[in-house]
Amino acid sequence: MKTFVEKHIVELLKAGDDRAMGLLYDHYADALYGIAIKVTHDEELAQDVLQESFVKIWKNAHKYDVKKARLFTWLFRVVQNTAIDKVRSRQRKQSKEVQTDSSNVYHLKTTSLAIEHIDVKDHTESLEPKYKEVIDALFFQGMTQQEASDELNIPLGTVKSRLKIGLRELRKVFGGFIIILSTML
Amino acid sequence: MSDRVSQFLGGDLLESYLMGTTSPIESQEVEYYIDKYPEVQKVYKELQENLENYAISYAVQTPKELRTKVLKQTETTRRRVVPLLSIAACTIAVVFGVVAFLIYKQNQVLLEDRQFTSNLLENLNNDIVSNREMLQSVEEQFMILNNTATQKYILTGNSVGRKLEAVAYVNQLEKKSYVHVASLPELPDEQVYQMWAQVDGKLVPLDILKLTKDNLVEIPYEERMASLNVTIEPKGGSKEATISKEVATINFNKENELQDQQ
Repeated sequence: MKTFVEKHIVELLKAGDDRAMGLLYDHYADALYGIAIKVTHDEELAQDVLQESFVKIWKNAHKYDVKKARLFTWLFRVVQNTAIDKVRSRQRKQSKEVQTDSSNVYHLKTTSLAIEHIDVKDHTESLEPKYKEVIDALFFQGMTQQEASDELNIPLGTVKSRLKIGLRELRKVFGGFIIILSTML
Repeated sequence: MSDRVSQFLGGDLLESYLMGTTSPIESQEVEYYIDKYPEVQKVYKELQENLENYAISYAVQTPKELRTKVLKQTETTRRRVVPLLSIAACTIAVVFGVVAFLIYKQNQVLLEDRQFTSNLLENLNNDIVSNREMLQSVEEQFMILNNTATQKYILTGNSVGRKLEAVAYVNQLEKKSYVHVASLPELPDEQVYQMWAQVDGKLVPLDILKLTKDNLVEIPYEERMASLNVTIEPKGGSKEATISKEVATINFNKENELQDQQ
């Protein structure tokens, strides 16, 4: 269900009205920042990712097709791809350097979970780990299904079925929260 | 639910599409199913909501200063885009202007060429008409001169106009008269030689006499012409002949008549 805010943001984006970016930030920045952190495991890099993603969103707003995906799905893909690119680019750079300092190793700084999402987080934790690890590998680590299969040491078919079931299980996990979340965004 | 839909939902294309990892052809296939089958549309909608909720569950509060930074950068991007568009628009306008100017100049040159060619053609046409008229005139003169009814008369000047030499051709059947002036003594600017025809005892003005070089000049024909006379008159000619200034005369009697042998 598309919320009024989502519709309004899309209208502003399509009209090239920069008020869209303020609204977009206020309603989606925390979620998108969370995705960026989950992919990069680095707050500083995640901030760069968010900044770069917003520029991409602003520049490519005309390409967004409301019929093909929800606004969040599109935003998610932009941030996901930007974050994966950033991580890969940093990996390439670091592989050329001699790692003598521990600062070269990814580390997650202290992060504060957005207060309004804490309840949702609790529900997510109730998703079975076997589904969660597949979803995380595919959506947050930028792995292909084959890569996930290799990384998690499970057959490709199992990756596919766990992804399918996991995404559907999320429905059960969130249950009534969907309605509440829809009104929040 | 049809077998086709069950089979589609049993596969992993929809999940891959959600992840944005489908090929363009696969995406088209998925979009076809979403458009055509409400069941697929429903599942896709649920998957999106699930992903959204799942992602939101990992939401992290952004640093306070990040909002200003991000919005400032998007604003800068916009400012940068606008001048680029303006520059592109200006460049296109300038190129268009230059091209339009070049086309205009080329068009002007072509128009001038066309005008020149048109004038040339017109001149050639006029020349053709003129030559045709001249040819017609020459043919006519030739016909007259060859006509056995044409009489030839030689005018010679008296003591005043000694150098005057002219030949007159008169055809009474065709009622045509021509004169060929071979030599004419010079006169002051305010005077001219005028030719007269004596008809019924009166001198009728014919024409101003000029050198005709190799051409014959037609002069008015007068019936019952008894003689041709040439007098010196004021510039522009006179209505009445100044007999005292007569320089040549020829009477159309048998003594002066020369049969044209041509």
